[in-house]
Amino acid sequence: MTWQGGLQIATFAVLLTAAVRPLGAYIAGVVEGRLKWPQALLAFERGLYRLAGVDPTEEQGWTQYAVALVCFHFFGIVLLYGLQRVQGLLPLNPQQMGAVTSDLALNTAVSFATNTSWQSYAGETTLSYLSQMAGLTVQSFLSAATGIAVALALVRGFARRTSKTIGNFWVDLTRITLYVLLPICIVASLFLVVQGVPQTLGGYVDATTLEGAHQVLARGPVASQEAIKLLSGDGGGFFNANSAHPYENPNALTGLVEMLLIFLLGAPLTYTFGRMVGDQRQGWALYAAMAVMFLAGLAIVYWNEARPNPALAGLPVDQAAGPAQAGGNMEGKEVRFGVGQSALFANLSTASSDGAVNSMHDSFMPLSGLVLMGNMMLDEVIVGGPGSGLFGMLLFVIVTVFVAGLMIGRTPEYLGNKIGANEVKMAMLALLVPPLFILGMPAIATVLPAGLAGLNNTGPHGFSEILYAYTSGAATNGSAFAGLNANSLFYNLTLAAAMFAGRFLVIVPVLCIAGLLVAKGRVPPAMGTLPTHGPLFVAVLIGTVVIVGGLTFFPALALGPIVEHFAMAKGVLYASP
Amino acid sequence: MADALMIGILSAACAFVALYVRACTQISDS
Repeated sequence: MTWQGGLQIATFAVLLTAAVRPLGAYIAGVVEGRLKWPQALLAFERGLYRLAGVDPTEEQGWTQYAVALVCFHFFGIVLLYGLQRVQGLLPLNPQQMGAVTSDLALNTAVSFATNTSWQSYAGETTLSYLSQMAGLTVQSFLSAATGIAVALALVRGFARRTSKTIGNFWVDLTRITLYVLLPICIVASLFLVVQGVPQTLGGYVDATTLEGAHQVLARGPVASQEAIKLLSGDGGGFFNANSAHPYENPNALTGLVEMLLIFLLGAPLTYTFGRMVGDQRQGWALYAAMAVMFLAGLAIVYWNEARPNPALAGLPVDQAAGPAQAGGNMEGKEVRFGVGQSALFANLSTASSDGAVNSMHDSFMPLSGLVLMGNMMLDEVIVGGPGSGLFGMLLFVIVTVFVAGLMIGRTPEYLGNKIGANEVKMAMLALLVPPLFILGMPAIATVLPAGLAGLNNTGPHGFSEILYAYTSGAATNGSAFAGLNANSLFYNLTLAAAMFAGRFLVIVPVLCIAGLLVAKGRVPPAMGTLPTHGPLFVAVLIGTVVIVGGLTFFPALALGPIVEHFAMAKGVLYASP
Repeated sequence: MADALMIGILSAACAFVALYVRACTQISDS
């Protein structure tokens, strides 16, 4: 570990924590309609409602909210699918990209509409500018706004007393997009342009290198996609190399800003939660639980990556840190960023639902790979994606107060809401859907020739590649371990199924819980009420998250990164297939 | 043909979600 790496992590932590309160309060103001906007902007918002035939004053019950959400994204997927299929006939296609194959188009459409952004394609060789801008970028905005809307609907469930409605999906979607996502993205895009990220509709450039070689430089409307790629938790890069590409991430400063953007909505939403339920300490308790788990994972990854790779011991390879290099395990890492920023970026990317990368996760040490997979397997509650992290953590809170209630022999309560059997059933349903796909799909893929055909490694690392892919899909993360060729009919369809289920089959029970809670009256705290804002509750919450995750996924992890770690220590290597 | 198949798969998935919403409603009403 180097002091530069420590300084980067400390700078990030300070800046993020400083942003939590103002941004969290701002988001609460937006969704509660308390902020004063210019008349022109309000007229534009009203115009959108009129155009869509929506009455913004009419709230919805949880089933109406869920149906509106699912239908909206169904049409979004169909539109994005169609756009990719006919992109060759449409404008803004200077490289004359042809139609995307049907299975890849479906995978990509589901991927971006579910806030996953798993990419089985290379953007610069597959998609037209129109597909990237009007397709992927638009879905990045809408999927992020949906995640936040669902989280806030659940928060209303905790905050309201005896109501039948949890908000209006269309109003939430519109306000979050207009007043939260767009302003931040405009500022971030302009910053990235200033730093050298391309933003052009001009075609690719033919260049002659100093050695006289011919090279085609891909470019395009990168900055506008880059900002929402990070802010939305979508993570789908304009280029295949994602944030390791110098046109997406030109320098260390843009690296820091991009990392902040990844957590810039997820972290402040804890403050928004505290503000909306009328007890700020509750929000800080959730933030503390997230921060502890994040720092623990980061410490393991950074420690592992800063050490020399034992498999290279005895070879003429200098792995020591010094003025000329960051040292440690530099395989798969950008030399501009070194180990510190790569470890931080990888943790942020997997703890959130973002999935952007500035280094290749496949090349991380086995125990680091375990942490990155673990971040996603824990339902991405360590800050998580915009909204999805908060509602994921609140699901664990429900389980925690239920377990704690059993331990002390009292009816579980949270924020004055009695947690009944139906709420716990729904929370467990939402928590069990992703494991079904994370564990079930690799079990199928590892015994079918179609599943094994995509592997570039054998042994436990090959298994990790498959496990990581479905974990990334079902957790709606989207990052790739690399090493797995997933652009095949089998992987495109099965990963699309994992992403679809991991998003919508989780959101529905979350909205159901909101509907159940909102109908209940609140009870005042009594002597036996478990305090949910102190260190004890934070510790129990972390314990619940880790134990549930550990019990569910340890056997699969034992077959992949854990056995690979011990094999590596013994000097056992596995040949390519 | 391939497009019809893909849209069919997507429609089936959405129909499943509709049934899922209904099942959750029944559980929550119980």
